[in-house]
Amino acid sequence: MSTSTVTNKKLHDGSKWGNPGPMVYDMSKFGMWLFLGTEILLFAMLFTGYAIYYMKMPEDFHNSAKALSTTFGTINTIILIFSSFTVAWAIECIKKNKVKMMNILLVITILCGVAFLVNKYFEYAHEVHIGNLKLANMQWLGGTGRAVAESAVPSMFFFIYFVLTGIHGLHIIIGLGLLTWVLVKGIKGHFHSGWYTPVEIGGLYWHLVDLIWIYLFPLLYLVA
Amino acid sequence: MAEGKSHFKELLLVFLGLLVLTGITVYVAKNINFGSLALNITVALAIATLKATLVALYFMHLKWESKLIISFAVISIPFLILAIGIMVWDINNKIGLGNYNLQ
Repeated sequence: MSTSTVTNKKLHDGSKWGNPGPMVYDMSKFGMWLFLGTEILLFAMLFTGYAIYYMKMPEDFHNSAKALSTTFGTINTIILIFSSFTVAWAIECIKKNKVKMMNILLVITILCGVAFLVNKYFEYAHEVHIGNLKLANMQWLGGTGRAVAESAVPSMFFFIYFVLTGIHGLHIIIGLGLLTWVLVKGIKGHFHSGWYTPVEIGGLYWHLVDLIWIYLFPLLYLVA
Repeated sequence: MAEGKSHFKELLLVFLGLLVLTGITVYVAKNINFGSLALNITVALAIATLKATLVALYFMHLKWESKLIISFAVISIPFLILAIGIMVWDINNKIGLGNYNLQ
């Protein structure tokens, strides 16, 4: 960044938190990794639940998973991997002061996240339509009474499916909020090669969402 | 702050690698049976772990990170396995999956 633009505009470097920018950068990254550790623990416990019930009834999981569309799952996987790539690319751009390119890439990332949610909406609508949500709900309520009357079997697989994808979807929404915030700051011109910590931190969160989906995809869609 | 070096090429290669691995895992799940459900899911999870490693190393910059963050991430992995493994093992072993009604 040339000196003339620096004098015209207030230069953001993160030092308003009382520490020099590079230090804020290192501390923020370590703090974010600690937080991601707790996020991974949250999902690890959900996966543990999955593992326990999978061992209890592998055939049931195997058959229930057939109701899920692998095509939808694969498309969503590719969308998330691509959006992860674009956000990592955005960080490379801002390191070289290419602010406009970074903003474009962030917009693409956000659009990918929205596309993922739209896909998910259609999937959920389909699950509700063919009654799998009801099976999950019956599992939640204890699976007696109505279950016998309607000769339907409560499904632990779909219960876990809705909990896992629901919490993952919540993370997508949070991630989209973070990235939108980063994008707004990017458009305002807060970032340059000396200060892009929020981009990096927001990116880390988005990658975590991708990381978790990488495990959800085979566990939910490919067990069939 | 910035290392000054662009990692774009690595990122692009990793992206393509992830696409290929996604293709492989879908193909394997659809067409190849390794003999048992447990074995099939193990293969799928192994591929997922490979993908996750790529994402963590390159997209999350772990490869170029400071020793503090790298050791934090690496040391956590055995504890994570322990947390999941012990619980699953405990349920499997102590209660006995065959005769305990989890519902």
